[in-house]
Amino acid sequence: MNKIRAWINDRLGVAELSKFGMKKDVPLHSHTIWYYTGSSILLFMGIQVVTGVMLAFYYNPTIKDANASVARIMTEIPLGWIIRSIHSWSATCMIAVVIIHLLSIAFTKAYRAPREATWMTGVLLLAASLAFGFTGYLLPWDDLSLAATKVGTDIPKSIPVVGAWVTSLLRGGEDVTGDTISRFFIVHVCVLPLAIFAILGIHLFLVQRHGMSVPLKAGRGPEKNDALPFWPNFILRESAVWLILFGVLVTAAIFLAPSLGPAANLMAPAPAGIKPEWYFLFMFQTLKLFPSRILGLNGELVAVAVMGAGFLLVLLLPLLDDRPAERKGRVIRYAVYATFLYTIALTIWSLL
Amino acid sequence: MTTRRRSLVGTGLLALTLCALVLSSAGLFSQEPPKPPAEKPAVEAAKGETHPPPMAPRDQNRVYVFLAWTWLTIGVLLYILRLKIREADRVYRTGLFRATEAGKEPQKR
Repeated sequence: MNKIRAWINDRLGVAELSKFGMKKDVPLHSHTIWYYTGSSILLFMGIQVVTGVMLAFYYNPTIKDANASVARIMTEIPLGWIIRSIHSWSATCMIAVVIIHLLSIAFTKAYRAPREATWMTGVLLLAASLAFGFTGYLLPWDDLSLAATKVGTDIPKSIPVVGAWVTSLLRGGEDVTGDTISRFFIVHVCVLPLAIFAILGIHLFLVQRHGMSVPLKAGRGPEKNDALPFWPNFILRESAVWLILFGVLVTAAIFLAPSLGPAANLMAPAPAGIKPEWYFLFMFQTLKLFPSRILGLNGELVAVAVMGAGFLLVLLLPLLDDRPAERKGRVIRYAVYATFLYTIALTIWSLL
Repeated sequence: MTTRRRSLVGTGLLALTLCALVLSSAGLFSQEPPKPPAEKPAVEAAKGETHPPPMAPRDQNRVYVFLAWTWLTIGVLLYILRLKIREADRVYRTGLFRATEAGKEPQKR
């Protein structure tokens, strides 16, 4: 056994990694719980990869077979419905935890120098996760997914000059067709995973490089210098969190498994009351709020411009709030609270 | 009971739980092999809404047993992790690893 261990260690340098983990400290304070959200994202991402590969064994990304292959996964393949349900629920959980993780960073102002790039890669990871959700939503090819994709891919059309081209690029033609399914499938299983792993690699490298941020309040108190070794103390605690999350995920997947609608009919009108996934609801409601014309401009274009500006503000938040750590930056904090409340309020409104 | 003995008991419990989980849920994996899909027209599967869980009561019971064993396994694993965390924290408090690394006296916390 020792020989095998020595052989592996000679090749991979595992002992060095272990030493690095023991040297790395995790700050211990009243906000330490937020550090677990980062690793939880990795758990859900891993589950997504494993279940996604299993689903891809049976899924056919063609207009004729897409819906039928998902129906087959749910009804004929042993445990297929659980795998699909776990995939769907872990996607939802992953996006929820990414949002919670970003909010915790925003509220504790952990994005300030020298962690600006860490924040920006985090926002890009959120964008990639949303893109995963959007592309994956079409794949079952039922009425609802077709209508939602039509609405979603129509949004860029209002942008002058390049809008129509972007819509055509997304759809693989003028309309949502079989080409759109294969395009979304390739983006969902190849392009986005490559992008997300690249961004994640940079994000994790930056986290290692700059260490974990300590909130201003926690850094001042009596607990100032308290820390926990990453290996094994923090990892063991993380494992416990992972186990609980996994149990909750499997339970939700069994009791609240998603159903599958009838195959999409390209000629049929959009079903009444269509709504996107919960994480797009606030955007959907914002689009609905804007009138068709504002000061002579296309209302949809204004809405797209406002949402684009909002995304840029979030992405560039560390550059807007670049005060020294001693100064709190109250205005930015209230702006973050306001954005959070706006998102929650519009999501609830859209659900009603 | 010493920590070592508790770890052994915990590991034994985990092994038993895993065995029981595999044996009890074996039926879940031994469903009838799927029929070849090529013969089935796509339109047929797409007529109505498809609901996910197995509808037969026997299959449903198997799923609930599987879920119960999953939570039991998680419970046992959490118990073992609790022991491990306590042990790791105790070792850290005594400062054994850091002292050997830095060649200094164990830190008092």
